[in-house]
Amino acid sequence: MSSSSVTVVEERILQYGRKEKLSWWGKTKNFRTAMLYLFPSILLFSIFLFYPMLRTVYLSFFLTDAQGVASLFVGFENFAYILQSSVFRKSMVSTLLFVLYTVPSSVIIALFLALLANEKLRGIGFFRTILSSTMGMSVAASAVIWLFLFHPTVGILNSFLNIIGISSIPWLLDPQWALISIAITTVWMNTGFAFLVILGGLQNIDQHLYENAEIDGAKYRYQLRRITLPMLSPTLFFIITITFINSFQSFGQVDILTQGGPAEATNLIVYAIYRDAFINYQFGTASAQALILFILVFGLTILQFKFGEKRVHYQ
Amino acid sequence: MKKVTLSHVSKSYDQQSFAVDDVNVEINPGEFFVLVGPSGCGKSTMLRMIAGLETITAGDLSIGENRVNHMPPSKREISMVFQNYALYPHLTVEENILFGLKARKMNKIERNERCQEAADLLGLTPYLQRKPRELSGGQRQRVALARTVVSQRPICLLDEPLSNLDAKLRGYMRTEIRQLQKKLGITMIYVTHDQVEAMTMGDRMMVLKDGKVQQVGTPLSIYNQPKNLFVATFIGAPPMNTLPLSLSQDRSLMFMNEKISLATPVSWRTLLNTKDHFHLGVRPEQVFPAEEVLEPSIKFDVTIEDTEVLGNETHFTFTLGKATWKAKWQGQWPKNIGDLLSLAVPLEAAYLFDTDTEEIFYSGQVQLSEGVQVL
Repeated sequence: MSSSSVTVVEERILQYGRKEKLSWWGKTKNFRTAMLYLFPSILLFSIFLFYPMLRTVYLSFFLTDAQGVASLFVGFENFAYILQSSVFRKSMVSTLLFVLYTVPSSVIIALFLALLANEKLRGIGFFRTILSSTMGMSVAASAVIWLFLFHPTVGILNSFLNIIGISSIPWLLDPQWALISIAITTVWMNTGFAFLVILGGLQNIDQHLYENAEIDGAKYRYQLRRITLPMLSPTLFFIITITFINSFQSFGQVDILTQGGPAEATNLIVYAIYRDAFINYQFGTASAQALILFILVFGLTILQFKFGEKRVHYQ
Repeated sequence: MKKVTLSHVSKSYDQQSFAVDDVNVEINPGEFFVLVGPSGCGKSTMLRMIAGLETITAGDLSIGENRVNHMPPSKREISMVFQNYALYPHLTVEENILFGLKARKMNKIERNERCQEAADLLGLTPYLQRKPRELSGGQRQRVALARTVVSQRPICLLDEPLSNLDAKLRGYMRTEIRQLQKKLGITMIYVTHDQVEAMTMGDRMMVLKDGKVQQVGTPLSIYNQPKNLFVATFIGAPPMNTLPLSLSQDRSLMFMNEKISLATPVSWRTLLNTKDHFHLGVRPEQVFPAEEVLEPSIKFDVTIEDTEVLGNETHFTFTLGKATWKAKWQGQWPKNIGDLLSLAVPLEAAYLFDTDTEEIFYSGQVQLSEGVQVL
């Protein structure tokens, strides 16, 4: 039966189907229109994204002079040098630790704050504004604020610790503490954006689901586990990915708070690249590091999509 | 089985006006009770107050003998079906049905037994492992109903459950919900804006407007004896025809406008002694061809402005005074737009409403006394 119906369809196509003969110019009409619309962004991306990327790849195979002009082709030597360098390895370890400190805590704190701010209370708009306000603050401004807070003698953090009877902590001066201090600053900076996105996700959840659960007698924690988190999973996945990539690329706060010190404890990878390129004028090795960072972030993000997305419930 | 009692229940959101205004009603165990009214009349708010999802501003709500104003929803022994069904999109049909039982930590054997029973009852067994998005509208509706079935709670609240379905499915689900209610013997409180649903499903219905109860009664008593102009025009399709009339000095003539008048039927004259104006109401099916009406009637001639032939019945639209009227005749009538019609309305089919209060003061079948109690 199905085979006969197929032949009927085929017959109909043979009998009435019309193959329009189009020239190459006619066939590509849609494509050309699309390209016209895409042209402005392609142009900007090419100048500021694609060209620098290709240039980085190119430079990573060369030794350069102080102006950054490629002077000697060295193949993979830059990479070999980098991978053996103890500075790079230490920088890598710091970066991974830093990501570990910042990503889970940023997301969990933002989620907690968003859950609080999602309650219907009088004046909740004020708290929502306050809690998302770090989003509107530049990295430099935030870092300077924390520079004052961390100040060993007049900083408010140490004053507060002294009041409750704990001795001062050398926040930015001690190699043990410096990375944690930078992480605290970064979490504080991340929270605003993550909070706003998660709050948006929470507001998108149909209130009837909670009302139904309420009638069924589900307690708050059961509702959180069985409704809120699954319904929020696409948002959480998005914010985890973004925070993750941002953490790898942290630069401004390091530059202002510690300049990579003390004892290279906060020499995060992007800061190390900056130092190699613009302080040591080693554009070749800096490019090689940038490429390694790119491959690392790219690979980890793919892994995240592969394993994380299974737990995400899209509607 | 418990009855639901509302006494002087009111709801105000802004402390200035009432969304639900002084509602008194007793809903009996096992009854199918319909709350009907136009959008914004407070019917959903009332249902949500019964569910415990809205606080009650004033008055008492009791389920059984207990006042439950401040009882949390889960303790009220109710289940609820929402307009959008409120299914959990990330859970399968089975998990959706069992959500409430799991939340209450019921043991697994009984849980699965109830789920199986409900799935059989509603024909959902083949779909238990699917996600809600893989179901049609009618199937989703059934999953929502299955949740109330497994809860085995004696009172079920439904908030416009059929408004997201197409007309054919809606008609089918009407019967299905009604049969389910009879089979389970539970109380259903059903909110709708569709008067057809109210008429066909309800044991009793309450008509609401602007938060105020207009009338409570069985569908037929409300259709036959509407208490005021609003109820008369809200219930019935096409709605009741109405016409504002003013009376001459000696009450012998009723004016539709400056020029056109009708003779006041003799039997109405004493009735209208104290009035200058009133509204005449007539159901479309009571507007007959003049030659068919032998009893005392009001007669008039009109020009047809529109005809609709619906298989075995024909609707004519025409203008009378300033009002647009419809006549509904059985059979197929070959009339054209612009044709003249001689029509008659039997006096006993007429309803008379006070123009100021909009309350009914006379209906052909029963003379109503002042302050009639229709509760």
